[in-house]
Amino acid sequence: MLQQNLLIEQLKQGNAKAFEKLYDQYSGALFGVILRICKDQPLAEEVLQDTFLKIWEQAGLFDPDKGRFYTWAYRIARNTSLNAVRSKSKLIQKEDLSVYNTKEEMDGPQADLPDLQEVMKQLEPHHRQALELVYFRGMTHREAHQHMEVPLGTFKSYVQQALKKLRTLNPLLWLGLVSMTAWIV
Amino acid sequence: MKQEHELISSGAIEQYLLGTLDPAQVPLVESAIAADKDLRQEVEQLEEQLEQLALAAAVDPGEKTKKRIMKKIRRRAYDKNLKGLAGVTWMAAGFALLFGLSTLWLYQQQGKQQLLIDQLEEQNTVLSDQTARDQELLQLATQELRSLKDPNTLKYILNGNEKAPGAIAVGYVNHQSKQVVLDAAGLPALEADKDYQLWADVEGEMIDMGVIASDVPTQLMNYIANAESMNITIEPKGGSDHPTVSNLIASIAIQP
Repeated sequence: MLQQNLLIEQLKQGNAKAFEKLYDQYSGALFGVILRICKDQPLAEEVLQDTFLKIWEQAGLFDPDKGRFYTWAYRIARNTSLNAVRSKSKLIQKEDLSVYNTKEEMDGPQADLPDLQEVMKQLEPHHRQALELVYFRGMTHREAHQHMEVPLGTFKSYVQQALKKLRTLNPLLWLGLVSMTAWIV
Repeated sequence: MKQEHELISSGAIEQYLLGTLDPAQVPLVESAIAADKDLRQEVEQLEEQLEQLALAAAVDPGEKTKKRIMKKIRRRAYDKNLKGLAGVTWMAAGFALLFGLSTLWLYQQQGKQQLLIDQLEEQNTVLSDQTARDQELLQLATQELRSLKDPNTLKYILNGNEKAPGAIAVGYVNHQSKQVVLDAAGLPALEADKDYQLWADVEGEMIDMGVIASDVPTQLMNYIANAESMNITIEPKGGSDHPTVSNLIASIAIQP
């Protein structure tokens, strides 16, 4: 953590080496989220680039007292991805009305991505789905409760329970899972 | 404590952590977290868990993407350094003008060198690829030349029949080294979906000697033992398993 704080301080001062280390540490995790939201490899690569350029430009705004670096970076990645998908969707809609976000598309497997079912196997299936839709697919609570066809209140409680369960898990469990995925730094 | 309960019961904390909270509410939640030690500890734990979860579901964006991003960042870092230097106050500049100029020069050199290194790396990759291709061609050409100069090499001229009048190809067959080189420069160009293919006739059976490449004048073909003749047909792009006899355009008997 101390090492990371130092890297972040260096990043704020415009140190490209520190940026590169943080990129190595988090690009995979952020790309996993971006790719799941964009569902389009070239677009996801562009979004990843925009995300890291924003991280570089806005590093001065990051306040470690308000949370972890990854949480901050994740928020940038998520917003950048959603904006990119919306722009692309608008472009496509001009030519073809059948665009994204059909239920089948959202539920369908995505090739070459670590299986989230496997990654979150410690959670109940409905808790897992709730977390996946919001945290990895970029849906709002409102969109996600409609997608799961449960009332908003029920959906919120799914998320709360999922996070509650997460909090009780040993973080080292996830570290074990990292090696099971295709992500090799 | 009251505030903590309100935030927890409203679901705002979860929405904050998952990035779905209305941006206008983010500063409120952040202030509440900063002001409450217990809440902060709880949020930190969750942040760490979500981070580990994201790392477990990570996808490698690849080295190419990293290189592209790092190039842009180095560019911006260089510009930022220059800007930083320009912002030095006059009081400091008076004392350190000389030092500043030399530092600026060093930064410029460093930036230029970095750009130069990037360019050289790219050129190096292009040249390496080119060299590998050239070496392959040279090896092929040397092999062909050796085969042609060999006194055991027999030369056969395949003249086009009525289906391809004027077409000409020259085959060089060496039974000792078991090599066949074909000079196909005299064959007329075909439509994009067709290729010439060379066949050996062995006891009445036509055996594939290879598809004739249209972009190189001479090429090594497959040597077939006991061939009685060499034949050229026109086949669909990529060649066929069996010759289309109706498309035979040249043929010549060869010595075993």
